[in-house]
Amino acid sequence: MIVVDGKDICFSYDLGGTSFALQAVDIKIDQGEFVAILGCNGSGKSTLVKHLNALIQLQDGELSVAQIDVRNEKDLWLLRRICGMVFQNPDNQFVSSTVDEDIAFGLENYETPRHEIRDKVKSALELVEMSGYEKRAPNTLSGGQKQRIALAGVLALDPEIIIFDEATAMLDPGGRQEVINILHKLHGVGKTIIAITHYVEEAVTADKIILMNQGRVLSCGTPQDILTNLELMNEAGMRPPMTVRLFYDLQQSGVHLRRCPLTEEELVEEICQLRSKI
Amino acid sequence: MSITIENLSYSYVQPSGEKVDALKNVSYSIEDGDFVGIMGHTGCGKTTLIQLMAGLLSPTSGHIYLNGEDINAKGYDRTSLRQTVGVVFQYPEYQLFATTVEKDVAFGLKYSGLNRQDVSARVQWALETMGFDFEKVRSQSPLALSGGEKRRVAIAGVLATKPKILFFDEPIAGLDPYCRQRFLQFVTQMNQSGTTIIMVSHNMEALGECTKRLLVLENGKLIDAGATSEVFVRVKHMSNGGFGQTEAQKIVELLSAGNLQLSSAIVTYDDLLSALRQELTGGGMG
Amino acid sequence: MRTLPTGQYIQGDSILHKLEARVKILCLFILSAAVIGASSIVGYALALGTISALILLSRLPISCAFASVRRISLFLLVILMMNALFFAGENTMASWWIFHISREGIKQGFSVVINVILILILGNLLTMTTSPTQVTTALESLIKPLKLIGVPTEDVAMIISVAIQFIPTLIEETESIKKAQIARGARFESKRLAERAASFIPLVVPIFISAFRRADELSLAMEARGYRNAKNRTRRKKEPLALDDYTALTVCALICLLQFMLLR
Repeated sequence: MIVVDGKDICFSYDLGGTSFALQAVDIKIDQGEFVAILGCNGSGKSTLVKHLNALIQLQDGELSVAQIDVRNEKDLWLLRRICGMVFQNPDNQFVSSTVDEDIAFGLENYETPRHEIRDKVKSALELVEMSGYEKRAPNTLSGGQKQRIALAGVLALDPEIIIFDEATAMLDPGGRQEVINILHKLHGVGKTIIAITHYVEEAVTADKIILMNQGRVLSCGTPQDILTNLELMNEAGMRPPMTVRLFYDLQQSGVHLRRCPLTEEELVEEICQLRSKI
Repeated sequence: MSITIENLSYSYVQPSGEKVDALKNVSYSIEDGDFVGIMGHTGCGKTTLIQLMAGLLSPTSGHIYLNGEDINAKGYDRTSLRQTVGVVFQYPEYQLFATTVEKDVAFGLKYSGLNRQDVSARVQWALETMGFDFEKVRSQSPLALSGGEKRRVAIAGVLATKPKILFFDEPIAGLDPYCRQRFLQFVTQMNQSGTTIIMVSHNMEALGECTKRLLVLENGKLIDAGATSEVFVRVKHMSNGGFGQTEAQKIVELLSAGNLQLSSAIVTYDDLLSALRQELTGGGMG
Repeated sequence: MRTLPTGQYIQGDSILHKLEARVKILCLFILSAAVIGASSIVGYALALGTISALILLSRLPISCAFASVRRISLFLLVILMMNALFFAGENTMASWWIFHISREGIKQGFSVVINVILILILGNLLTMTTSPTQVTTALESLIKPLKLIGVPTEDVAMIISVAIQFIPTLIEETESIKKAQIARGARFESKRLAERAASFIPLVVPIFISAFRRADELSLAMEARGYRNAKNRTRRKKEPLALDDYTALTVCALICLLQFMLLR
């Protein structure tokens, strides 16, 4: 079932001007997919994704999310419940001085009865593996923990689609791994995940990659199709994963692996395979 | 310009009354023209260490010698310290404040004693070193620039005083891969032209590519120091691999599990590439 | 690590911690009136005794209660001097030009200083035994009457609650920007006023910009989580007042009454 269906989306921050943040963008995402949107800063990734929960109003084109037309103002609040978002800066997502109240914020917005809120907060904390942190102040947490609490606040509303808008960009490697682990866990239980990132390593495990450049979709395909295509990656200003670069650099020295590996395990397999022949 | 830190310690008291020992008895020597990386988990004392070395904090005990002089001694010329030492903090673009790029970059030269023409020339040099077209950018508002451009303006502001030592705290945080590479190239060039560079980073690849020597901090203590490639190999076996590895190291480990032994000294991409070339061209081919 | 202007919340389970926040705020006002109403040695003894009792009840270290007092000690000295040197009372001891030293003046000076210190300690006790959330919830319900004159009290309470939680972050960022500008030669500690003033802009402008940027990002995050206005939201549970709360209010009211009777 298609949960995101967009055609010909155009957007300009400078109405009447000539610069477009998005030009003729088509986007189709199936339920349960893990989609990574890759591109340099300024490629339009964040602008595109903010259309999905109507944080940015659609100027031109068609877009429906979970069968709701984003132009439909009446369904705006339902849309934002179904499509949750975690932002880049861990500090600028908190409204309350304790973790449990912050997670409850979204539930309160949807007039969830008070007696249900406590249990939903507890389940959300369990999902992000931070049970017991209820009374902590968000500003005393590490970057990775902050993002997980922000995520818990989103998960408390039980969304179908979760958008990670460069949610790992400001974290240290440990924090980044914490968030990525939870992302995979959520994908595993059937949530549709849309992750914007400029770390190619995070896109390797995606079901689909949308590669953007200067407001346009350069290409859309599997990680194998996109990340191993040097020309495409260069055009988008992205550096291919290390395994891909090794493949091509070795090729130039006359060393030919059978196929272009995406993951480190695949690379090692190919190298050992070649070694055994020599 | 060399720096020597001797038995450096720093503690402070939190509002709740709890005492925190941010740095415990750290000693190290950095030579003129060196490129030293500082690595460690969040909260290990990295930022405190560079703030102390740059004279922005006073140590609880211990000494910091710049070219042999104690920077915390009475009568030490603080004005010239500010000109000699440059510090680029994390997300430096958040410090921009002036109405034009030119004015912001010139801020550091206020007490430099240079005349207006020289200040202008320095500002131009700093902006051009950071890849800007001076005439195009000089009268723009710093806030109207893109994120990456803002960061480059902020760094130009620090470069303007032509510091002999540059400290960087997580300089590539939040940058996309293209900008990351450009920065690492720039900082390597700065070092090659004689500036001593000290860089704090989480990014193992960046540290591996640029730094000559590495300091490893944990809980305020200096737990390892030495040539970068050697330290990388040693920390792999430390604190349950908690410092991570470079991608090249990870691949070497996986290969050894597959019965292909490569040198354990491999740390960077280039090291790995040349080792693989040797291994796989069947000795002499290609 | 800077402390907040008022004493920061320290978790605990003393009697003071357990009292309802609204009751504590009301008691703060009542006892402040009692402090100001003190006019004799007995009066001051009563005020001092009450506050010492409260400090003991809070089970917090005494130094915490005095936290902010140290910081304004210069200001207090100025007040003392102003009263001691310029107040011309009946028992003038010495007089020269515009300076008049009188017994009333000195007494007045000490009186004001002690009042300020005591009220400050009361304020500290409130913020140290009450979490920011409890304070804002209490404020929200206490300002409800303003709704009658058209003040959007729920929105105001939301704004205050969000702003309070940003204070530690903004303070940290101020420290960080200050260091960065010092590294570039800004002179915040200079003896020359002009230099200090000039260093002000490189600190204040980035903080303002940062505050606006954070507000911008936060408002997006709030909208993304379904926020539309402060009215149509699940209400916080209203805790009924306990016996301790009534006791506290009664005791404070009695002390205040006693003070005013002593005035006569």
